[in-house]
Amino acid sequence: MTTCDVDNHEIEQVTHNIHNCKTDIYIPCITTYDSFLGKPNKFSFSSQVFFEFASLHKSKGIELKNRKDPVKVYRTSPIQEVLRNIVETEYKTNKNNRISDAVSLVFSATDPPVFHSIMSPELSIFEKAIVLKEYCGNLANIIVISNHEKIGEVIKKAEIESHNSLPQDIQIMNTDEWLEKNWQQNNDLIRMAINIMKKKSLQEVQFGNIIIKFTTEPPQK
Amino acid sequence: MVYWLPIYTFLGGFLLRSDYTTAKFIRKTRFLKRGEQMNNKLAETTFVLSRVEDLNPSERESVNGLTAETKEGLVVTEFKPGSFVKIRKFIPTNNLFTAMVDEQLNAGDRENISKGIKSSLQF
Repeated sequence: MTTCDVDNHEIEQVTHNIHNCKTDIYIPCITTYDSFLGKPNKFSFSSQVFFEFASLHKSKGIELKNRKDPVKVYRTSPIQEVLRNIVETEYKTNKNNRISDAVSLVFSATDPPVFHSIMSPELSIFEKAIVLKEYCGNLANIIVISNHEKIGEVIKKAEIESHNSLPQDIQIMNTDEWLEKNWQQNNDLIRMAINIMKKKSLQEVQFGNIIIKFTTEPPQK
Repeated sequence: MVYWLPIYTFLGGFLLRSDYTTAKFIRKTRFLKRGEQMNNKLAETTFVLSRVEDLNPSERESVNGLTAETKEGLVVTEFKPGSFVKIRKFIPTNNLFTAMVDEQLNAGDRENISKGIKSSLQF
């Protein structure tokens, strides 16, 4: 892909940030932001847990520069531009600052884009995933988080654009799959999910094959 | 001649004072104009997240609702547009960062965000 503008210094920062330990690098697609900030859809709950998880690790990352943070969440430059455009349009037409504040909060939970590109927000995640994989090698697990309905088509297009097939070790999953996969291993996720349910007075949520229910009945054996 | 000295001093002082007032007025109108320009630009608030355990004692003191015994939770530092003033808010562990986002947005805002994102998608 020739449209990518990679700054060696920025890449150096990324490789330095992963501290020579195995790190999970998440690259959320614009559709993940839509599930969280936009109209509620079937992925809203898991997206909320995902960004809560991102904020927890971002807060560790800022303050504890010397501590090895096993999780990094990067946003991509076109996604930043899309959200900023929405914020600016909203401000010009309605003098509304609420969207600006919400977007600013979400940005505070993620790391800034590592390099710029002019690709569409959907394609740019794969572009960045490929470049990061190339630079970080086995030190980083690259995980693309996308709630896109036509993710298969987006991958095909990305492969055509890059004249290459997507590396096998780049994982692509939606937020429901991500939550289902990590549910058993991560107590933070359980705590966050329960807190979100309490906060929103949700009695039941489902992601993948997992159903969480608030009940007064004792669990069945 | 000496008798005229207080009068000269008074007049000089008055002129200086009026000069000062004029300068202040010009400066004020300039600022007003700049303020109007600022109003038409987007005023962006910046938020920075940090963990309670990572704050130093003086930072802890500036956070509302945070006691010395508190060991867990997140702190959101808010930088207001055009100001160096920082506002620090404590989010206990049973509270959530995403709940703050929820509080910001109403159904109309969410509709507009989705519309904007949809129009940016190519597939």
